[in-house]
Amino acid sequence: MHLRFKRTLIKLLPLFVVLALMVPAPLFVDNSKAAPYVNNRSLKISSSLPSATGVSYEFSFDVPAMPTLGAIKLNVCSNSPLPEDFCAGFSGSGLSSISSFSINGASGFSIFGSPTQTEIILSRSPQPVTAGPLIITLRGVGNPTATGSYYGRLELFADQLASTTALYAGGTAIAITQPVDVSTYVPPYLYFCAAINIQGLDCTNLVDYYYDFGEFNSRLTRYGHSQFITATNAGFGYNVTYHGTTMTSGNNIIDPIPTLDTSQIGRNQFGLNLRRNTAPSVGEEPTGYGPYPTIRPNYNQPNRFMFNSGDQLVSINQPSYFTKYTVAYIVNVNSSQAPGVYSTTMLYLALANF
Amino acid sequence: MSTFVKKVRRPVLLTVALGLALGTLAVPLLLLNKVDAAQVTARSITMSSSAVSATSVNYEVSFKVAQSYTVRGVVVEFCSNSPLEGEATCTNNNGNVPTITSAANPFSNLTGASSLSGGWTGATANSAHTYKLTDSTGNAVTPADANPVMFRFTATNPSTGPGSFYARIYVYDDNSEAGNHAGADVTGTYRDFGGIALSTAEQITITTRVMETLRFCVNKTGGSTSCPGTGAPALDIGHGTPRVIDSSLVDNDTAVFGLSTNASSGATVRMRGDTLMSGSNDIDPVGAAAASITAGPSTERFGLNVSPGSGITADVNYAGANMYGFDRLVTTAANGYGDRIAYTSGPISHADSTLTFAATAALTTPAGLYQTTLDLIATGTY
Repeated sequence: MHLRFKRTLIKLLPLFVVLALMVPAPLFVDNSKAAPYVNNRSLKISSSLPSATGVSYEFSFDVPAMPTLGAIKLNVCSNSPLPEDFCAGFSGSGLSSISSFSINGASGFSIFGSPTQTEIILSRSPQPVTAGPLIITLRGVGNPTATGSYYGRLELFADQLASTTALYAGGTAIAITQPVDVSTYVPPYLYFCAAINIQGLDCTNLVDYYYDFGEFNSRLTRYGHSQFITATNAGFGYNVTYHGTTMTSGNNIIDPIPTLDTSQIGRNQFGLNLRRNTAPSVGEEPTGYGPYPTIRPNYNQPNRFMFNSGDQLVSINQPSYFTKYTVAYIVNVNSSQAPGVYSTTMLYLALANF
Repeated sequence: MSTFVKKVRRPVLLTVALGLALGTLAVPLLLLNKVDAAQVTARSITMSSSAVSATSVNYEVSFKVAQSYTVRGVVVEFCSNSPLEGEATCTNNNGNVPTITSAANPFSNLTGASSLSGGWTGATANSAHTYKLTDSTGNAVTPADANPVMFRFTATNPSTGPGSFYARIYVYDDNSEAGNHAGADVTGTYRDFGGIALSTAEQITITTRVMETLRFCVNKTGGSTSCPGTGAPALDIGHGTPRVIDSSLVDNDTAVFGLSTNASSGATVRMRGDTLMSGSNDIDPVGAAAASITAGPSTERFGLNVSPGSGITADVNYAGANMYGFDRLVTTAANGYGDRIAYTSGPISHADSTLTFAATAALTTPAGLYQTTLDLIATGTY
């Protein structure tokens, strides 16, 4: 028996050798069947962000003149751009989520079967194609979830089912990478200052906080001015109010102007406005970059004055650059005005609305 | 019978003796054409290709003579059957031995110095399977010469095979004797000889595959020699604490992208995304053309400058010292692929390029936290 077994083994030895040679065969790549590559091939993506959805993948290449072109197979793989290699998948929907496609340079194609994560076949009735650029845009692709290099492949077939040997092929590479996040902070600010005189539009150049009207006289109008600058990036702008009393000396007062009125010599009057006046000649128009805030009507008429503590002088409902206002003051007294040193303190208050 | 033997013994013996005597004389006569011949040394024929049927193959012959004399002719005869000199048959059918295609310029492009020089002339014979080099003046050579006898000719390799074939070398001190050489059995009187074996062989076919590559990364700082770099590209533009932008300064922050590719037609880097936004408020981007950014009460700008690495070119709209660009129409176009910020014209080893994002706020820029996410996309064209 032992001898017979040996003889049987010897008889079967050639068969074993043949089988041993046959088994590894599929593991080797047959480079002799590699299709020639198309030129100027690229894969342009509309987003390189990991996990991005709705991404457009644009395959572009120069197709050579072909007597028949029936199918185009496109792949996105994580391992290799070589068409003869196995195409490894990745995490992400890939080509399976395609919503539409378009082709420039050829016509009549439709999606063959159901696209998978890594593969889509576009097919048509075989027909010739002329040499030139071919651009295929796949929309709705889901990017891989991990950063790194990925590969696009394309193969051109004469038959409609992409079942024959590819006539042309090509590979490309893309990169999925993290985005650049840029942030900055713009702080809220309200730029405001007041003085008798302000040089330019610069709150660091303030001159005097005290103004002397001199000696009142019932035959003359005494006048003077102060200035304030305002700017803000408050989205809803700002307003400026003023607070104070009319001019007083102990219990004696100079009557404020309760409603808009002109300067009248010989009457007790203390009032102000924000315009350039001619009677008397005092005040300036607002200056600055604009947009200019609105001067409230009671303080916006030349040669007409008013005083009512707490009134709003200007307002704007949007951010505003530097604006300089000149507040014009007038004082008239009658002949019976009690003697004394009359004074007042004006407080200007700016309120921004962010 | 004995009488007969006695009668014939003498004639037979005489005949044998005469035969031996004539035979002794005949040996020198048969060896007359190589009576002083000896085998050349250090002999070789170097082929520039061993491929079957290869054309324009250089055959460089090199040897040293075995005796001192004036060389006036050298014959190289190719045979498919034997390298043995003087052998009666030298099989040299077409296809079995090289076919000499050019006998000119015997001393050009040699790998070393030859002891022969002057007016030597190369020629072919025997259907171009034999090479003859002759010169009536010749060159005096000795076995001790530093330089060997060297010369070359061009041939087409045998078409059969791969396999061995042979060359027989005959060296003459008379150029007319070399000219008389007509084959193994008609060699003329030569001084030295030698046999050489040659062979054609299978060519080694090597196949390798180079994949399309595109390595692209975006980081806070570069990777120096490869991707990725270090740190997330999360930029915070501003000055002071906390960092803010205002109308007094132009602030900036940087990121780096690294790129390497073997794309033969180069690679393009595009940027996609919007300007700095805070809700519906934005920081005005520079625009399509590169421009400088100067702080001022009414200046509100956001832009990008690209300082390209070696081999990378910044797009003109993002290039130049302190010049910034940001084409919002392109970077935010629906179904677009972004605005080109840099490119290469061919393959590139790893290079880092610096992205400088700058911003300044106007007095009227609404307060808030402004942010944007910018997508950098690299595309190689192979």
